[in-house]
Amino acid sequence: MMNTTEVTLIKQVLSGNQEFYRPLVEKYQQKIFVLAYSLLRNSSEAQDLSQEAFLMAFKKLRELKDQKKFGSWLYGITRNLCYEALRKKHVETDSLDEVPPAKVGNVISMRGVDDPNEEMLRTMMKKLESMPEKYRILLHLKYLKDLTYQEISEMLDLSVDLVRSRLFEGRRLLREGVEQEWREEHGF
Amino acid sequence: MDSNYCNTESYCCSTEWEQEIILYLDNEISPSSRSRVERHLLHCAACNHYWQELEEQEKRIAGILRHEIQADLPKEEFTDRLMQSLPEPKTSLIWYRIADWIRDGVQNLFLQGWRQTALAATLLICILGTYFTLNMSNALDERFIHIKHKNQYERCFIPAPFRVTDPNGEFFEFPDGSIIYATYETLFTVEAFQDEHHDTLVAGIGQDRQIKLGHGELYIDVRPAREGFTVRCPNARVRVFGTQFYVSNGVISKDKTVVAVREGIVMVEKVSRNRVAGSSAQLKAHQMTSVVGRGGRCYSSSRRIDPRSQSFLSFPARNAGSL
Repeated sequence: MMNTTEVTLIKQVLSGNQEFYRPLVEKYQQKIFVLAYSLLRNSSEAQDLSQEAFLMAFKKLRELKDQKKFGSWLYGITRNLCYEALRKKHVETDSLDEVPPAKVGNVISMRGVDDPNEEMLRTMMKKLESMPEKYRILLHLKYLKDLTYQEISEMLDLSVDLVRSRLFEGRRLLREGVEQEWREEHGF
Repeated sequence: MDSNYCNTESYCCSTEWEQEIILYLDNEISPSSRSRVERHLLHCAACNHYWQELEEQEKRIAGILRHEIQADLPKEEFTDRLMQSLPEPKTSLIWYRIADWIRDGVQNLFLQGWRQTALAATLLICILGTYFTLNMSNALDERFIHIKHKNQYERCFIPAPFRVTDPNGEFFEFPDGSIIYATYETLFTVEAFQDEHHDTLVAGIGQDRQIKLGHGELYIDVRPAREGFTVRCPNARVRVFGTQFYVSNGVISKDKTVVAVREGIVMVEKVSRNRVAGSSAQLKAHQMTSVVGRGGRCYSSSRRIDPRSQSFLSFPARNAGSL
């Protein structure tokens, strides 16, 4: 869908034809969800937040100055909602003195732990989840949706060069972290 | 980067190749680089191993992550639920539609018929530009006069203000031959006059030659002409048709205008709020009058000049100031 089509759809929505919002939702819903999941690390929360983001975008659609940039604008709304949710969660967590439960490797834990490959994979997932956010979020987006660097840069409002370098650094950190833990656990 | 040089036991033979392989894996590589990487992978066992291992690991990580979100990934129900929860439009949208029609119309005008629009706009600009340029040049021609001052002709735009800075006073010779001698620190403005190159007055046909005296003393030798010669003071108006006379304002006392006539006839009118207030005096040679304040009348319509005030009538010699 070209941006011109998006502009046409937005104009129709603004004219009162709400049904024209559906193609926009269908186009962006999975990317918005993946973005929210990467930031929040909770799929049910990500789904609720995606719904909220689309609703907010619909209500504020008239405030969108450049209708060709609907996607970037929607990503911005989603990011802001995620940061707000994280801030609230952080305050609640601090006040309750709780540590959020790790939900890493649920799938792997269902399988046998004797398989060295599975064990390596679990280590990788654990390391991935404990990586600095600036690398983890980008790797999540890449793995979850196989997005291009351009798409990731648009979703996170970063330059393509920065996305490229962070994905490279992130993978290297992940590999080195796994190697180090493997050596410590197995003594070689 | 030599594609055949691989002698390390690390994951990749070099950081450069590691970067290239990751770009290759992410499908972010140019076609020429792609074939170069593929050639390298054929020859370099370390890089080939790294690539295969990385690809396998990433597939598995992606698989795990995608499995975790699979249940909550938005699908058709998500869209339906969202569409049902959209708020209804609050107000009539007719104005928004009208605004959209206008905006679309303007856009179409420029997008579809831009050549015709640009041509029409260019022609319009040319016509208007020519019209205004011609008018402006005429207006500019009419808006200046040449005044001889300090031994040279000055091109003065109307209105032309002058402030006399020479302690001996200064002479001004106008295009019609009239001469004004202004004393030190006199402030006056030439508001309307005719140049020798033009038959019409600057301020319009039939109007007087006009000098506005703000403060100071003027000895004026008016060359007779069809148009009158008027000196406007804050509280008086002096009108002549060729004579020699003296006029001062604020010199003897504040808001006092003094007029003395050497030759001819001078009409002095009281002015209040830029309008003739009714009181006037007609002076002949060797008569003088004064207008005091802004609310009074003209004094002494025919008072002869006191012999002690004869200096009013002695027109300064040209060598007193500089012409």
